[in-house]
Amino acid sequence: MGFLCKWCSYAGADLAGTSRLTYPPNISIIRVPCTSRINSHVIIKALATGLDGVLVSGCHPGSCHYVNGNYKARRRLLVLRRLIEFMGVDPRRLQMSWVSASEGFKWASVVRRATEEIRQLGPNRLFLEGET
Amino acid sequence: MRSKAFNREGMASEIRQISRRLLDAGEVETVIGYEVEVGGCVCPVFIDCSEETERLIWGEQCVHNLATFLKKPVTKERNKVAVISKGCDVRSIIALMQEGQVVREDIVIIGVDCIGQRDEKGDLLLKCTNCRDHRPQLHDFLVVDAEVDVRRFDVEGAEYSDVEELEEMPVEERLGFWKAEAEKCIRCYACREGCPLCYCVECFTDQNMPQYLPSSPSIQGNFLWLMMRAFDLAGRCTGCMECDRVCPVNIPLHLVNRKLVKDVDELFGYEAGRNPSERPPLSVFSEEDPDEFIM
Amino acid sequence: MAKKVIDDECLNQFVSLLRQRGYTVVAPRAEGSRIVYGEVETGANFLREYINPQNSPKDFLFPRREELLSFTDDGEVIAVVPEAVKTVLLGVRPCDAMAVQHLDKIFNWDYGDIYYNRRRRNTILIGLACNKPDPTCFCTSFGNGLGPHQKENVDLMLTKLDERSYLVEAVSKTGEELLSLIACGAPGRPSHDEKALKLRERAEKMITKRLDVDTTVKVLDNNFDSDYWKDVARKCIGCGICTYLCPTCYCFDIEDEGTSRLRFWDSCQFTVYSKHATGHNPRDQPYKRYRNRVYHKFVYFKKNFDEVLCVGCGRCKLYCPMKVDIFKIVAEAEVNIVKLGRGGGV
Repeated sequence: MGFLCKWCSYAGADLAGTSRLTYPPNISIIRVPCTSRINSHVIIKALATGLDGVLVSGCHPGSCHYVNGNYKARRRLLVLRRLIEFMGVDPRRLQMSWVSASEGFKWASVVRRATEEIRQLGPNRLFLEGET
Repeated sequence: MRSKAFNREGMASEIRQISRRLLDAGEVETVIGYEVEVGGCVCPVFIDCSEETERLIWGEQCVHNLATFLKKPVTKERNKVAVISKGCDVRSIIALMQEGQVVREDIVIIGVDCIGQRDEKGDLLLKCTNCRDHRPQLHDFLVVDAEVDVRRFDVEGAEYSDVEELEEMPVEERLGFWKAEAEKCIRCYACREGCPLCYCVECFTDQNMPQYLPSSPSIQGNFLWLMMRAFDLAGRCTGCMECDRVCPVNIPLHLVNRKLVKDVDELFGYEAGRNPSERPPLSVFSEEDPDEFIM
Repeated sequence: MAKKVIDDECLNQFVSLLRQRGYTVVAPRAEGSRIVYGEVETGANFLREYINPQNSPKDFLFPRREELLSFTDDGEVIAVVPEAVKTVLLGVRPCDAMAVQHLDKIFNWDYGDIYYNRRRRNTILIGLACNKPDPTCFCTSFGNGLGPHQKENVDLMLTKLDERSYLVEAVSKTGEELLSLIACGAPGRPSHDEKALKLRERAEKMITKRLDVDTTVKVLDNNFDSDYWKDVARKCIGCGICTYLCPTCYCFDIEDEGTSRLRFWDSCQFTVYSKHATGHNPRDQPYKRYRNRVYHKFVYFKKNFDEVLCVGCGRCKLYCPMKVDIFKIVAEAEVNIVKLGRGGGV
């Protein structure tokens, strides 16, 4: 699952599409106004309920449309990765990237890399049938 | 009925004296302190008049963090409240001040020196074994304990060996550990209610549009509860360990909350509840925050 | 009443026999520092000495979380009625057994709860008399025969006579059938009854907390709006421990998760419990919620079923993080309300 900020990364992903770049189809994208809008609980829920990976992508530091949203998101994810690791979820399942609106190529390569890393971790099955 | 543990009579007497003065002068309407209830256990007490101050005690089983009452409407409705506070409790008060939940002028802190509290079995509490707050940092009155050893203020840093033990486990084993704990959880929310920093009028668990986690006590739902609450406390938890004390099924909640206390200290050099004017780390940012994990 | 005297080894054998016959045997066990009812495999791993487990028979008749029905994407509904798992709850104290009686009434009041009833029909209660009540106990106040040795509400009753022997008495027809299965042990004699009676009298004397229930109910009923309630439980933090561990609390919530409809425990101590869809909350303050708990136990249930819902087990106080004492609050209500009326404090 991808959370992409609308001003930079989503536009970058769009560019990748119009440029007919290929990248793995495993990612489902959700557009958010800014990466700082993402409620960390949603990420926790996604990873704990069986989603194999989450990718958060936003504007480069200094380029955030809302000035500093991406800095706040960076700090949040820094802490969140440590928390999920402590609870038994591989932190490599939570990935972050800076992709600007003009970086179609970068977007494709980010997704390729994230997908490959997460694929190697195997399916994220934390809970069995009777535990949910 | 008093046990041998309540042996700090001089301090108790001073606490009563201070409380009487405050109540008689009308400076506070209620004093929140500790008493021994009919069954012999120490518990919180709300004292509204001079005559009742006789109930106040001080001893080695005053484990409850009375700062938690400062987040409650019952205290906010009274004009002014005095609260008996140990060093760890005062940190919670400072943390509440940092977040604008407590106005310093609205409360009177009766600080009490503390050389350690014990549980019902008589064992020293885990948080007391490496305490750096024997003397409350902030107070309007200070009830001194002659035994508070000055040397003990030089404890280097906080102790996290139990957290580290869990950190050293392989990831799958850790998952198994937390799943086993999550299975015990009954979603009584005592951890939330007992925590001084959990003061949201509407907790995220009660939201249903969207619903962040299931309300029923499934293992997965409980696991989410443990994680999500820990995250909301990141950078705000002072390590008072009340969550752990109040949990009826003995889930070691302090492990995950203190893990983040440790991380926040490592990453940002920050401890909650030290400086009333500091901003909690997750409400601010630095341009130099680590970003090796970012592509 | 048919009776036998057995020793510990015989009790172990009885447990094995029950298991052989397909019963799941649940008894108090040590789990970490807690004592809880859990499934036992041999007679050897359940406790003999305990006051009362943290959980109660309620957990097995009205579980914390259960599926009521499930549905498919095409709208087909599948009612999920619990399997008939034959269960024996062993070592149930009279207070908890009385609690089951109360739950029986509730779950068959305005409708017959098939989920509860199915489990109930397949559950056998083997009681264990209290020889050493806890200071928090106050079971003898309720005027319905409840006391540390009450036998009425179980199928088979055990009384520990001394270090090595138990008196086993059949109470119900099921109890008689079970008793006949016990091959070991000796027949009960009047001397055993005398011993049991002495133990009973001693236990009853140990319960010093007594409440005049009729007066209490009247006082409460007449003083709902008293300021007494505003101050009496200020140290209550509003968690759900008392309600969840109480053997007679039965409120639940229903929610859908995925394609399942579940019911799970709810607590009147939570703020949102009585919040209406309009946003209005009749119990918006902590004191109103605590008052509700007291009234439900001591007034409302009495009015509907002619019995007080509380059984005096003491768990609510024992596990309360702040030691809120329902007995004290209710026992001292009259005196304090009068004092308040005269302008005094609580």
